[in-house]
Amino acid sequence: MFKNDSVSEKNTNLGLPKTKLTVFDVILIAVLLIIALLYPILSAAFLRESDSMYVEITDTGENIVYEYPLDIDKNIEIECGGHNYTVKIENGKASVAKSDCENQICVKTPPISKSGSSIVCAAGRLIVEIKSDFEEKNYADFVIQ
Amino acid sequence: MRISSFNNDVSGKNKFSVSRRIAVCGILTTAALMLSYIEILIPPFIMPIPGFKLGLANIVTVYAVFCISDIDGAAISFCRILISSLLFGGVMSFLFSVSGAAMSFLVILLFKYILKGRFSWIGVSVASATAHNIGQLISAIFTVGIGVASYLPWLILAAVISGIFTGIILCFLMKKSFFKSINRELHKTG
Repeated sequence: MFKNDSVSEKNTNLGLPKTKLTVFDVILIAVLLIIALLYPILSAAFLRESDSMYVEITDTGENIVYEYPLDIDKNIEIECGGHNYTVKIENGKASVAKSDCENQICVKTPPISKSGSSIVCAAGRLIVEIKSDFEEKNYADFVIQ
Repeated sequence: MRISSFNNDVSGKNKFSVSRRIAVCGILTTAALMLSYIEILIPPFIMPIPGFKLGLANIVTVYAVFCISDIDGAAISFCRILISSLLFGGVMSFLFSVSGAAMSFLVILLFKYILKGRFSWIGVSVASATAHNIGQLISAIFTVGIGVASYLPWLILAAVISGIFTGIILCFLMKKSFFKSINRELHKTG
């Protein structure tokens, strides 16, 4: 029994992983880091359609909703709450180009391009909002154990 | 340091008895549970990446699968997740953890049986941490949406950092004569 033990004492290799960093470890870590670095480029090529954004124009008085893709340039004439508006979609940005409301706040609002941002005209109850199929939820909020 | 009585069964045979097996699994489950509790105590805002966790319990899972047995490793991992979800989390965290742990377990098996002898503990824990994060990401895609996939590079980065960290701890532990003698005893009994 004791003799057996002293023999196995020398035999330190039990088929377990090594206790010193090997070349394969370095290769594995390098490959993972390269995947992590390249992923944004790859996903931009494959996932473009899934995160397409669109402009949602809502007439809150009449409860009418219009939708236009953000990547096609367009001028939209809308009559809303007794006022006439021209919503301009250009270079992936939406803005209110013309309005006959009194304070012109909607025209002065800079063009919007990010999902969730909006232009509001209180006079005609008009909301121009950028929306996205790709719901950008705050996934870091998930509690993961 | 020798643990001569570690393998002295009542029957006198070189056998890893059921009660001893249960005891070892219980100790390791408790250790894993304590490690996941310690992780919760670390405030999240000092972490460089949102959602980043050290994955200290991974140490126990990797150790158990390699040094005790596959099924015991899976059982320890599952019990740890069940208890830690009951104590600190909820249903969502349980589902996320189970999918992560299942992926991680499969990758550890891959390293144990197919890629054996090439990697060190660091490589194994990096791979298993990555698999864990990818498993969680897959269940997140089902529950939240495909958009979460853009979080993948951060998760891989987090897994590499935490995997190197836990791998260094494992390498350090396995050099200790205490663990060496335990491993030899466990190896003989299979």
